[in-house]
Amino acid sequence: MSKFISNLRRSYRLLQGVPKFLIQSLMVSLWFAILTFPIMVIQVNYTANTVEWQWGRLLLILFGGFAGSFIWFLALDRKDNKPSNTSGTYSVIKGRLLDYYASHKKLVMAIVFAIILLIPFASSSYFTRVLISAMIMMVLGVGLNIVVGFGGLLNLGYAAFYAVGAYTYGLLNYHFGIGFWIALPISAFTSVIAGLLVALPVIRLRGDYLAIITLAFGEITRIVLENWGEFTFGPSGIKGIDKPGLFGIDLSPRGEIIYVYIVVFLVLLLTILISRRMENSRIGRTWESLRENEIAARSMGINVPRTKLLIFAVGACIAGVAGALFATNISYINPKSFALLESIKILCVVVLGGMGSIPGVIVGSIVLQVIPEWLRPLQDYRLLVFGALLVVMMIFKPNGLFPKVRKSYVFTKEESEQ
Amino acid sequence: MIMSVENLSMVFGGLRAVDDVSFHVNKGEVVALIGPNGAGKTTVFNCVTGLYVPTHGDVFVYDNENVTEHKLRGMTPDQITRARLARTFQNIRLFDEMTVLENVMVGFHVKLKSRLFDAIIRTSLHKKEEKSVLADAYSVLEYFQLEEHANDVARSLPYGYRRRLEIARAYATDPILLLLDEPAAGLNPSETEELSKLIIRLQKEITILLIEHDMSMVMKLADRIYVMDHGQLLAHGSPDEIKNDKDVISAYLGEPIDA
Ligand SMILES: Nc1ncnc2c1ncn2[C@@H]1O[C@H](COP(=O)(O)OP(=O)(O)OP(=O)(O)O)[C@@H](O)[C@H]1O
Ligand SMILES: [Mg+2]
Repeated sequence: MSKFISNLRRSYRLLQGVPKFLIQSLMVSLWFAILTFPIMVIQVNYTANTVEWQWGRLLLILFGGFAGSFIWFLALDRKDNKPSNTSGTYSVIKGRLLDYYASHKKLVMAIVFAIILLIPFASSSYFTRVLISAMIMMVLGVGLNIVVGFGGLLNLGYAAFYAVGAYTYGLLNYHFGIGFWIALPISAFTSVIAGLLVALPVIRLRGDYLAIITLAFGEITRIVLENWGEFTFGPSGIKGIDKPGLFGIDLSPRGEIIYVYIVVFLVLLLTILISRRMENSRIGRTWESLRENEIAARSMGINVPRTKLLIFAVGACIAGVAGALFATNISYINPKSFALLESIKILCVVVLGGMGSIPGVIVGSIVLQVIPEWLRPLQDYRLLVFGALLVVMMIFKPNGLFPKVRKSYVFTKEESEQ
Repeated sequence: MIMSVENLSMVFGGLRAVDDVSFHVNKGEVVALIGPNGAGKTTVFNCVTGLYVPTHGDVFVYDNENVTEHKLRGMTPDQITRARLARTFQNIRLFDEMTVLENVMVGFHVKLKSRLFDAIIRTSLHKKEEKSVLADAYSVLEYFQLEEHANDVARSLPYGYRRRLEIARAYATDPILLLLDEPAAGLNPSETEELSKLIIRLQKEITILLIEHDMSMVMKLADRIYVMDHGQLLAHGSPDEIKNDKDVISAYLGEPIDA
C-alpha cells in the first residue's frame, strides 16, 4: 500500500515538470470526450438494430479538444503575462501613424472620404450593396451606442424602432407615393414617438428589467407587423419601395445603387458628427453620469426620468432614420428583417467594437455585416460563430476591439486663471 | 437659520429609523450629527436630500442670498440640488469611468443652460458655457488639490482622493449647505488632518452638516452637535456639553468619546 502511495507521489512529481496547461488541456479533452461519448461514439443503426461504435470520432474529439484547449490556455497565459513594452516594431509604427494622423487630421480625413466615395465606382454592384448594409448597420450601431454605451440602458428591442422607421417610409411610399426625402424626417419622428411610448413606462426600471421589457416590446412590434395584415401586409411585407429621388433625374440601376451608397454614407457621417457633438456637451455628460451612478446623478441636479426619455428618443430617432435608409436600399421590407436577432446583432456591434466607441461601432459593423457575407456557406452556423466570438471577446478584449478613449483636456495658463 | 428639520420621521415597515427628529442649522456653522451605527443618521440625510420621502415631518431651506424659502417635502433630489443643497455619500458614489475633471463638470450641470440642440449645432451659448465650465471645473480641482489627476478616470484614484473628489463635485453645484456623510471614514490620520483643514476652509463659504464617527475631528470642527440613537435625538449642545453628557456616554457604551 505504502509503495503504491510513494509511486503515486513520484509520478505526481514527474507531472509537475510538465507545463501546467498541457495537463489542463488533457483533462479538458478527456472530460469533453466523456461528455460527448453517448452522442458521438455510440450510434444506433435502427435499420439493422445494431450499435455502431465510432471510435474514430472519439480520437478526433480527444485530439481536437486537446488542441483547442491547449491553444486556449496558451492564449490566456499570454494575455495575463503580456509584457507591457512599447518598443515593439508594431507599436512604433502604430505610434507614428497616430502622430501623423494627429498632425494632418484634415488631409487624412479628406483622403479617406475620397476613397470611400470612389469605392462604388470601382466595385461590383453586389459589393456596393454589402457596403451599404454595413453602413446602415453603423448608423444603427451609433444610435444604440448612445442608449447602451452612453446611457447604460440595456435595450434589447432596438430593431423595433428600426422597423417603425422602415414601415413609416414603406407605407407612406406605398399609399401616398411620398418620396424618400420627405419621408425621412417623418420616419425619424414616428420612431421618436415609439421610443417615448416605450420609455414612459420603463424609465423607472433598470438593468435586467429594462432589458426584458424592451425585448418584449421588440417582439410585440414584430408580431404586430406580421399579423396586422390589412395595414402592414403581414409576413409578405411591402414591395417596390422607391429609391431616393435626385431632382427627378432618372438613374441607371447601377447609378441608383451608387447614389444610395453616397446618401447612406452622408447620413452616416452626419450621425457620427451629431453623436460626437452630443457626447461632449452638458447633456452628454448627464447621460454618462446616469450610466455610472444614478443616485449620484440625481443629487447632481440631473432630472433622471427626463434624461432617460431623451436618451430613448435620440436612440429611436437614429434607428428610424436607419429604417428609412434600409427600406429605400432594398426596396422590400417584411417583419423578418426586424426580429430579435437583428436587435442582438446591433447590440453585438456595439459590444464587440467597444461600448461608447465610434471607431468600435465601425469595426464591429464590418465584422458582423461584411464578413458574414463571405461566410455565406456557413450560414447555419452563423449564430454559433456570433456566440463564440462574443465569448472570446469578453475574455481577451473585454473592452471591445476599439475601446473608447476618454477625451482629455489640455489647460493653458490663461484658461486656468479665468 | 439656513435649514430646519421639523418632526421628521421615517418608518421602514415596522422600523422607525428616524423618530420625530427636529433640529436646525444656522448660516456659517459646522453642525455635526453623531450617533452609534444604525442610529438613523444617513436616513436623515436621505430624507433631507429627497432620496426618501419622509413618513412625517418636513424640511425647510432658507436661501438668504436669493431670498427664497423651500419646503423640501415633495421635491425630487434634483430639485433639492437646485435649491442649493449638496451632499456626499457614506459609500462613495463617483462617476467611475469618467475623468476627475468630468466628474466636477457634471457638478456644474445646474449652473448651465445649454440644451441638446445647442450642442448639435454648436450655438454660441454652448461654446461659451463649455469654455467656462472647463475653466471653472479646473479651478475647483485646484481648490481641492486634484488638478494633477484632472484627466485620470475617477476609478483609478486612491481612496483618500476619491473622498475629496466627491466633496469637490458637490461643491461644484454651488450649495449653501453641504451635507457630508462620514467624510473621514477609511482615511488615515494624515488624510483626516488634511480633510479637517479642507472643511475649515470650506466653512468660510458654505454651511456644513456633518455625520462623522471620528470624535476628535467632530470635537475640533463642530460648533454644535446633535446626537442620535435608535432614530431619536438624544442630546444637543456644544462639543464640551456633549463630551460630558451622561446619556451620550451610555449610548456609546462607555467608550470615551473624546478619543
Ligand atoms: N431603505 C431602507 N429600508 C429599510 N431599512 C432601512 C433603510 N435604510 C436604512 N434602514 C434602517 O434604518 C436604520 C438606520 O440606518 P442608517 O443608515 O440611517 O444608520 P446610520 O446612523 O447612518 O448608521 P451608520 O453609522 O452605520 O452609517 C438601520 O437599522 C437600517 O437598517
Ligand atoms: Mg450612515
